[in-house]
Amino acid sequence: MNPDIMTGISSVLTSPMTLLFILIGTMVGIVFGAIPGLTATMAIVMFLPVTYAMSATEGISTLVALYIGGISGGLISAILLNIPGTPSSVATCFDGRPMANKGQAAKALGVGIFFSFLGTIFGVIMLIFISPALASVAIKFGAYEYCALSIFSLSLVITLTGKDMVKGIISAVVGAMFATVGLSPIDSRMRYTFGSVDMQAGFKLLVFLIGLFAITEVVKVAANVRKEQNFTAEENVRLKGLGFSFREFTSQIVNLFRSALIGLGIGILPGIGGGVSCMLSYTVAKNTSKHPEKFGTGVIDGVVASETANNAGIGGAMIPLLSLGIPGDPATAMLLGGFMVHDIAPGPLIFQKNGPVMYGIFTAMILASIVMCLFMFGGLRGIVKVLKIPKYYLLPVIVMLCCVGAIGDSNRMFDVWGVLIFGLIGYFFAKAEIPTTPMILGFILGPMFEENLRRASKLAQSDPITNHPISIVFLAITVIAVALSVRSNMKQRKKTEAKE
Amino acid sequence: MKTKYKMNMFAGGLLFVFAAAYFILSWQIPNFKGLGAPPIDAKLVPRVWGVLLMVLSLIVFVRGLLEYLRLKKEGKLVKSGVSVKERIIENREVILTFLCLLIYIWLLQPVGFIIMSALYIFAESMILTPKEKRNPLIAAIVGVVAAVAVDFAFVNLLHVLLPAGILGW
Repeated sequence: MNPDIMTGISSVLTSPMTLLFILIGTMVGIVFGAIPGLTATMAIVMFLPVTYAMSATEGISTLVALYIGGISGGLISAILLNIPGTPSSVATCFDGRPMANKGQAAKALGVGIFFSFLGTIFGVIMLIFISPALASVAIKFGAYEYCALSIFSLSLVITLTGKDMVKGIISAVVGAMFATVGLSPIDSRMRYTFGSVDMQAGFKLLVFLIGLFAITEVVKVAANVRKEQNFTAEENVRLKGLGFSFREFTSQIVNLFRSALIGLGIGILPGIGGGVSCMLSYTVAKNTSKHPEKFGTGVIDGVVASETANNAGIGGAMIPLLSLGIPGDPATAMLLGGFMVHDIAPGPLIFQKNGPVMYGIFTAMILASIVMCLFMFGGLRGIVKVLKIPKYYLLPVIVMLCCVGAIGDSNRMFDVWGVLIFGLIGYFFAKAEIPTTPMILGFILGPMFEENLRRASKLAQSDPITNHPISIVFLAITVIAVALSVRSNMKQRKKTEAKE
Repeated sequence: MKTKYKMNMFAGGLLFVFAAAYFILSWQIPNFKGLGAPPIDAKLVPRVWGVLLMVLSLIVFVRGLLEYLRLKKEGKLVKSGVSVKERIIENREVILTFLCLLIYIWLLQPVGFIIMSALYIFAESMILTPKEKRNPLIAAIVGVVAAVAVDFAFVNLLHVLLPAGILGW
């Protein structure tokens, strides 16, 4: 057996500090997930500066624990408040809330928590098997393949994230433009630095993400201060055992695997996160069910479909992140930022260069899902109380921590200004209805595309593209995907115009 | 239906100006003429992005323009009747949030992390709290406690350097 596996596992299990950080990370993640408006992404941003002083395994274990907790916590508010705590739990409301109204809140929560746990474990197991395999394929990738892969991923993000393709591409291109600031790849020419030393190092991914997510979130709350927002939480929930019977569990096995596979698949595709996977999985469960008319009235099938899928997506989203260095959604982009802080470069070589850390992360993910399950079953009443902490005290503190994160990354004030600038851009984009996820992917994939395009241009004479069938396949799929998407976009447009 | 032509025209126009400036500035990028320089130089890709964004922003702008002309022809163009002043008042929390952040970052280094963070948290939480729930005392306590605790934790325990400012100890 690969000795890295044992080293990795024991590095987590024998370190009390790492275990403690996983525990805290998962709990904080759940609370963030449960509070509407705070997401897994925000939890990771907030904790990044705390991990600066930790070892790579400790730090990244904490971040993945936050991620798992953050995706899972959303179900609590979806069921008890009828407001999804995170976009990943949107579909949980559909049946979770009616169940709570019927007095079955405990059952809905029990089912949600347990199937979230199963979904996470399924995703992590798939991650453990698929990512080394994918890495060993990707290791043969050269400039052509990476160039094609980056175009392919970008096109997927653009076609899948929004209804409006033009605005999707705009967002991706703007992201790629910001990434060109600094030294050019290969020949280190200064670009758009305007003579500033700070600009030479370019904008940091972390700064970019903090501005786009944390600041825009605060602004969103600010914009709604004078709007009435009253929700009442169900507080008297008591969980007895798991909350559901063994027969109810066995009736959901098919649903479990189908939803887990949907979640995994959507997770792997870049650009679409838990929000889409829970909706899709819910719809599929409804359409294949023997009693579709009962969906929406409070059946456990709906909760199972939504919660299994969004949690299985965690492992799914980590697959391209670890083996190709391509994050699928904002939360994994944030994790990529965390990897960079600890000098770990995700990509096909990650298992060779950082084997022990990788297996440490897998161990941490399994531990975090167990902690998640136990904490949510055991500490439910406490979590419901935390939901009442007013966000108006919490958000300013988060912004302060974000600034600490920006300063601490490379000890310069320039990055804090970056946070403000990207916050303004994020606000402007939201107003203009331009999606921001493609921008992040553009920021990450733009440089990857350029570097490999230029490298390939050097090779073109001695080693033409015809020697690289994989890259041709990627490009062909890209063309087909874009063509199909343009067609459906046009159809949609005609439909809406006809309606008007 | 809410009309979107204004935002589309504004966003498209602004992005176009940005793209054009970016495109023109690409001429300032120095060339690498050494041995082994790749055939595609450091200017090409930025220029591609520039042209692409110019085209796309123009599409968004034209979309807005067409909607405007259509509404005008149909006589459905209604003046919103909201003045700039009213707009600012309507969005005061958003503007104040950005303003607060600007002042916070601006003075962070000269004044120092603890003082500015405490002030920022106090001010921002007052902005975010609905009028009837505002409590300056709690906001001040949250601000001071959070700023001191974070400064202590990061500087002493996690060894992240934060600006000490006028309290320079």
